[in-house]
Amino acid sequence: MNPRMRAIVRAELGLDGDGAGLDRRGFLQVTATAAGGLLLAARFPSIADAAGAAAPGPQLYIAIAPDNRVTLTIPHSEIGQGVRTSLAMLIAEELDADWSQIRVDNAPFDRRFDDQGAGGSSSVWSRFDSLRQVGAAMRTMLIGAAAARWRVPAAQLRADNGFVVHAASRRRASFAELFADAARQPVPDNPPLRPRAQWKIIGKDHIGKDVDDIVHGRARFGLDQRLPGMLFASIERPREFGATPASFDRAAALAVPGVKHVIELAAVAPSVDMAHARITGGMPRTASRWYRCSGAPAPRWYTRLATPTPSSPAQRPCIAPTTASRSSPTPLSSR
Amino acid sequence: VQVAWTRLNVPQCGYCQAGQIMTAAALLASVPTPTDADIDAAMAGNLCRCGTYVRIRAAVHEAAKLASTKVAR
Repeated sequence: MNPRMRAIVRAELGLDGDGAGLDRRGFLQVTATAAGGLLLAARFPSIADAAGAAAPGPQLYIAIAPDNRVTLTIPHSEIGQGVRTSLAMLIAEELDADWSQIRVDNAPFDRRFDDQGAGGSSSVWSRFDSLRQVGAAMRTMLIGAAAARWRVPAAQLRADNGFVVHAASRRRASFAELFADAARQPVPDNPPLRPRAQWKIIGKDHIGKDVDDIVHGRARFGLDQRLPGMLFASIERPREFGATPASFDRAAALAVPGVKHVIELAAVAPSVDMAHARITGGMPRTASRWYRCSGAPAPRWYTRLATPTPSSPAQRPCIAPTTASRSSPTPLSSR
Repeated sequence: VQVAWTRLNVPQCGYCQAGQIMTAAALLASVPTPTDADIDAAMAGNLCRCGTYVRIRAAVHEAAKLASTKVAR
């Protein structure tokens, strides 16, 4: 990592300047969970500050269940970039957890997490040190707890695949057994990170943490969200780059079975966010019988779709169909 | 097919994968040992924005292999 990035993540961790440590701003907190396990909450000061004093709180959670399973809850959005696997690798590497025992959940959308978007390939590099620090801090506390329990120097102990091990006396204790004591250990300042040559998880191939759910149809996507009275909307755009909708036939669109509303969007001035989308107003999607485009060159598709064959897509209703769901009408949550 | 998909780490976001898997299963039901061309033709209707096509094709071959091994046993 280059020095500039290192400075940014150090600032995020509150490690800047006067030797301030991880615990200076309540960086890590441990609490009991309803399920009998324990939960470690990590808070990244710069995010908490950015989100405002009204919304401080942890941004990342590590839960260890009595059976030693580790569940990470990360604020980042998973959109196929593999963040649920890659960020877990960063924590697991330093925690020395059993990779097969790690599950990853996404945090709900909440203001306290600040920006939960994904983009710019930033997740791994921006968290590369801080998440390893979280794992290392937790490992140090677990080892500290075992050292106190067994009355041996911490330097004689090591973490190994979900356990703390004292080789000399052949004692070992699972993370789950030690977690309650570990919660009372001091949060270490700058816990040592494992040198690259010793990485066991980072840099290796792993089956994605989502893969089993995906191939068995258990993964859930935005499309799976259902709320009472929910309607489905689609924004219809011209197919031609630069085309501007000229007109559309509202009555014909409303006549399509299930269509509740047809809403014409106001023209949106290009902004930083919209620069690529180039929304110029209107909603028609194809050269169906409901609309015509202006601003695009007379395209071949127009003549093709204007005289559709029975099986062509132009036969399908395509004006912003807002169809009713199966349940009763209630407004969508503002979230 | 599911075992092959897991073994080759096929999905990324996963959104399209249920359809990919069903199409692959249908292909293998009628063509037990498909060629690359068979796979490309049969799977052409399933789009994947993550671009997992290379692994999908490999996983269909893997599934065919797994199925034939199972029958041989």
